[in-house]
Amino acid sequence: MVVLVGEMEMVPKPRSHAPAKKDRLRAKRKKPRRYWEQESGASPGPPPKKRSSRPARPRSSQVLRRSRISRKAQVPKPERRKPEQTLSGAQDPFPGPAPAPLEVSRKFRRIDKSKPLPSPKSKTRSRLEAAEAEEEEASVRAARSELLLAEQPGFLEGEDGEDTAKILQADIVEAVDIASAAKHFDLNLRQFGPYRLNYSRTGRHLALGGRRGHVAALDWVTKQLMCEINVMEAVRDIQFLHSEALLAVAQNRWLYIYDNQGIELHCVRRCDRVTRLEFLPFHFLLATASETGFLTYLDVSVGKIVAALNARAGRLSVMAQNPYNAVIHLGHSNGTVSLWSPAVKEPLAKILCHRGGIRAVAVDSTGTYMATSGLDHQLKIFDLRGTYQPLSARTLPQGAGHLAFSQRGLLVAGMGDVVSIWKGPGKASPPSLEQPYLTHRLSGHVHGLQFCPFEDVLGVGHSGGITSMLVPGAAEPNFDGLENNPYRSRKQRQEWEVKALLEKIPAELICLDPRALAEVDVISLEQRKKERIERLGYDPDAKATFQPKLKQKGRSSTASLVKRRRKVLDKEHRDKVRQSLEEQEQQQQQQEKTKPPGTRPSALDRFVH
Amino acid sequence: MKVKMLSRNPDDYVRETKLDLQRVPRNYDPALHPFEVPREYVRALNATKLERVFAKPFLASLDGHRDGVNCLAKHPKSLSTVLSGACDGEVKIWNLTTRKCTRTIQAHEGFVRGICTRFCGTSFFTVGDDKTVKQWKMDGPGYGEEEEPLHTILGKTVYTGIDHHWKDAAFATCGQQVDIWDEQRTSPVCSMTWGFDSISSVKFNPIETFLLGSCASDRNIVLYDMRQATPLKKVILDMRTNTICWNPMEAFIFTAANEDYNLYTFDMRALDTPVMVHLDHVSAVLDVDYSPTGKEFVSASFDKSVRIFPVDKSQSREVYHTKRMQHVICVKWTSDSKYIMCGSDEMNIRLWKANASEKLGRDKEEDECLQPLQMNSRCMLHLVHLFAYILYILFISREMNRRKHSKPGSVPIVSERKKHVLAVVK
Repeated sequence: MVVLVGEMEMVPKPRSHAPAKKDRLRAKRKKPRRYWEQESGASPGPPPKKRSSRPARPRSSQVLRRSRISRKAQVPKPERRKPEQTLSGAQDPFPGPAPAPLEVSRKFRRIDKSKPLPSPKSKTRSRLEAAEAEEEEASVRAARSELLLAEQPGFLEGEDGEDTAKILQADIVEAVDIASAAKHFDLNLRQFGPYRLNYSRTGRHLALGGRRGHVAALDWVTKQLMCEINVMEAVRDIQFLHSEALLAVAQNRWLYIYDNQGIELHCVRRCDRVTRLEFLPFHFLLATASETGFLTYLDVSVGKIVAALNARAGRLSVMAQNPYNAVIHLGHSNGTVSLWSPAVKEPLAKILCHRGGIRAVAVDSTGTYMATSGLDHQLKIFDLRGTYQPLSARTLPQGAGHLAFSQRGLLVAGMGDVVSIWKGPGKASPPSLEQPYLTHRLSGHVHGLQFCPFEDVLGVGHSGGITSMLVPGAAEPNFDGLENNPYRSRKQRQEWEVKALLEKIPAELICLDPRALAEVDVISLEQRKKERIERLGYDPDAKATFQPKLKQKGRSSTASLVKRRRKVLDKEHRDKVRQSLEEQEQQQQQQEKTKPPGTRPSALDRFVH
Repeated sequence: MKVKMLSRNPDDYVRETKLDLQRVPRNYDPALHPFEVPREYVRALNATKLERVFAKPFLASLDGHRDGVNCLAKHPKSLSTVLSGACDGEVKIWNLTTRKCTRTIQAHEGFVRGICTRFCGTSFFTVGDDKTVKQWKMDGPGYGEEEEPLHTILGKTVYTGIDHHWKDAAFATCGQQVDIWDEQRTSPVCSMTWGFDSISSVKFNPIETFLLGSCASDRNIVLYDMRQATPLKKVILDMRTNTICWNPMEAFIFTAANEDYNLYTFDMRALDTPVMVHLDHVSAVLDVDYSPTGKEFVSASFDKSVRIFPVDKSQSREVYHTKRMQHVICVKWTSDSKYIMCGSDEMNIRLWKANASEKLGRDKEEDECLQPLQMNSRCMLHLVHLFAYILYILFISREMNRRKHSKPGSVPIVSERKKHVLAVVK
């Protein structure tokens, strides 16, 4: 700063004398001073805090600016921002907008900027550019608001050389605070086991269903029991519907729906011998997989069967939903996983994953990775972004019977009476299968697994009851109050319910890419254009043929008009020919590239084109 | 071993007392908001449907005239005052808040052809079939006084329209010719003619206040500059233009209501092609008025309907009609851009909302469901435009057939915008 001022002194004064005189006059006249204005001009406001991300401003700069030297130097300097003068003389210690980290703002990007824009003159381009600018601004603002998030995710780190997988639950319980320690508990329910369990979407409530008919729902944080019944029938699976007030139970014959007091509301006889349940919360669809081989979608908001799809693969007992696009993944005994949407009668995709039958499938919350385990004792992780290729695989001594992903991408596998949890290096990376993050041995064989949303807790249902395990770093720390609020009141829940019902997505919109709706439907657009041309008898968007302008002074004779038109037409023709030649050349080059390099030229090559 | 568990303090997330607002922490991470596009789509679809459900545009009908309402005028200073002239020579002044007539004047014998207010709002002018121009005070006469005009000018011919200058004490009338008057004089300052036909309306430009436009029954629209004695230029269309209206925000844009069911928005700098042809009416368009924002205008038509067009769209956004409303003769958009008034043949003035689903008054608290972007769902547009669309298709197919059965090239393809302008004369 000091160097800068020194330079300015050396610069010859660019202005004439008259304004300088004026300046001097103004300097002579004493400015009225308020009592709160201090002599030195230093700000009485809060002292500027130092931050690593911002270059600290030397305090002396303010004094310099007020001094005579700096007042003389009136050269505009765009790079230095002038702090705004306030009434009290206090200055903003952090002028300008808050910095937004670039990596974070990338998370909020929605427009793919790599796509080329249309030609610079078109109206669409300007509109797209405006939309892009708006989108960038929005993403920067959203990134800036990350500062306001209150909670940090949990973690578990061993001291150097210590294996975190060796750490016992008891050690963790001892090390953490009382509130967290209370989240670890065991329910000894040997009589009606083994148990399936399900957490509600807010993570506050837990429903459990024992094979021998025991159904219970409780607020597991306060340990308050909501209902407990025995349905006197085998319970295959249990699932909360959109809120904790409704509970779907797959029983031996039919599907039943209970409310949170254990009163039977519905018996859905069109879904019989159901083995697995999945609820799609934004579509209000309950997907049921049955022994008869049918995948049935039940719309719980109106109580209608939306689709009943025959998977033609025998008994269905492995099912998972992709939370990113609401596609249902079914695992079959021939080693394939098929992807289903209620809008299509056939599977959207079939992936051959294992050499034996599939035992368990799980999809992570971003819809990027799918974990499968099969009878061949393998555990594999697949990439779901178009390629469906295995990223990593590992053979387990027993093979995993149950799999689940947590909100932050931890993978848990239940093998016999042991659960193992794997963790990836980052949040968006797949779990690395080399070294488990945590392991735990239970008092019975695992029968159901689920990570609790928004809590670092894993619920395990087994033949000896229910175990609630502590898994630090499993859950998303900051929830969104308008989506899933664990602390919501009754009124808030009611309001959310109405809004969620209003925003119910139609079942037909389920497809592999949920953003497909925002894309331009090129095929139907072209079809419509074709129909329009047929109807009108000409193409209204076609470029008009060149009409030479009329010129004065005899230059508009018929011959010259024809000549000018000819000139333009010829140029267009030449362009067209040149373009087609270039295309041909490119094609040839591509063909040459695709040819395997080792092949020897043959005499017969000349006949191949 | 270093361990940290996620442990929230419930006090940070639950309100302290019942009087507080509920705490709603937000996290905008896209992973927590899946199905963004389908949800926004459903939301938009709902908003459009609800907008149609709540569309109750009709507010009131002002009755009291004993003949068809021929002309309307807004008060420049008072939002609640509106003036109307009827076919029996009666002029009524209305209070819109009470929806009552405050004053009735028997102004003319025969039609009241035109009515306009002075820019200061203290007086107004009327012209009638009795070849007179009368100036009236806005306030009624005192007790015991008789209702009398401030000034009366007796002319030689019938005046068919009048408009007041937006800043000066001058006004313009039309009839056989366009006359510019000084308020203090009884003879016109200048009169301008171009051709020999009767001129149906004259309008001052609200921004370039010396400019004025008129339309005559020999199918032309003529533009004048008050400062010079001769007209500027004219454009000749296919059919007669009934009236024009200047855009209050863009000085050089005006819209003409034509007999051929269309409205034409012109840029006065380039009259040879209209900027936009507005197509939806199914009968002659009789009157047009701009919203004060200059983004939309309203048109009244012989087809018993009022339509609202965005300036840059060829199709209307809204159509208002009722069972009882007959041919709509005049229409005005109020100065707060919230309401539309139309006067029709069956002696009523109707008050409509400019935005059909807008809530007024006490239940104004906006429902959040209506907030997100609203779509023009195709089916709804089709319902609204069905009749106009059928006419258009018939027209197109007729032309197509003609082209099909003629010598190739003899029926050229002309764009809709270029079709209707015959000539521009300077």
